[in-house]
Amino acid sequence: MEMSVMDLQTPELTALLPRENPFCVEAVENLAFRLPSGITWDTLLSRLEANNWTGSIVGPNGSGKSTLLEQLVPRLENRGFRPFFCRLTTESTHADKEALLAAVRELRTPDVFLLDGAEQLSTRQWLPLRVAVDSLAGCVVTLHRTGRLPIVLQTETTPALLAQLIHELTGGSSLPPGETATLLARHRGNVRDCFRELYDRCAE
Amino acid sequence: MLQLGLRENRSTFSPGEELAGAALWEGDAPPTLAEVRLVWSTKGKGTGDAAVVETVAFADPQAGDTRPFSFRLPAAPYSFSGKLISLVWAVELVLQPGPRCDRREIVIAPGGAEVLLPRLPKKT
Repeated sequence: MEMSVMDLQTPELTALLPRENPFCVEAVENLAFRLPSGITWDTLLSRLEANNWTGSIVGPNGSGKSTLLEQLVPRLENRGFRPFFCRLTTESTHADKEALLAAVRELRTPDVFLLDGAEQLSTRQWLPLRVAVDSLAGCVVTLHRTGRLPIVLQTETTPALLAQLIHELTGGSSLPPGETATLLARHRGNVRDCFRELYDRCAE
Repeated sequence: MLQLGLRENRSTFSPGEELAGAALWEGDAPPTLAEVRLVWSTKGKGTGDAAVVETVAFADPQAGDTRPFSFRLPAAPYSFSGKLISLVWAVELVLQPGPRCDRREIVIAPGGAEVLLPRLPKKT
């Protein structure tokens, strides 16, 4: 019989320890990015190559953009590039962004600059960075909205995707029918936040 | 192939005890680096943390080799689990190039029993 994640809330079962929790950060971070149907890693790399290894991954919060960018690193290395990965968050300061620009200005081909969180840069901060990456082998950024670089992939989340990821994380369990869609809608499509709620459910 | 073995196949220890074992590996060429690390890491909700507490590096490792090692286990931190995180100790055999790794999780706590932090009652 298929075991439901909800089963873990029954009083007869002991709450899961953090290291046993299937939705712990370590397990979530090890999930492979699920490319959309019809798209392979070769397809994605071909799109980048067609754009001189420059482009953006666009999508809402919690849709896997960071994961995709991280998993692009070894694939770029296999193509002979030298990925330089940086991440900006809402907590990144002005000094952080200035330091980022200074670091990028030191890079040279075959360096490829990968920036997770490019939407954290204002237009004034983005423009000099855009100029600096012109001398590099490439530049790939993640963004919430289109605009700054050609789009190579738009990420999106669906109940089917979330169900697939839950299935993998739990070794075969699933939520009751309809609840996956409800969970995803409650978190406005943010899979990461769905995992956080499921972590808490398993920890109770 | 690489394998870590702990003496008497123990996996639970008290702080200050000696942990001893043997590291075994087989390959086509001698590794450029072969070492055993005593590490802890956190698992759970939120960004993880980790530390290498001690390293035993093996000099002149051969392509196929067996080496003994031992650690005097530290007084802290204890292996524990709360609601948000677990702190997990482990012994890792690491070979380069690769990296190739074998890992054995252990418990370091008084009496060899992981400390389970009490849960606060829910506010009503």
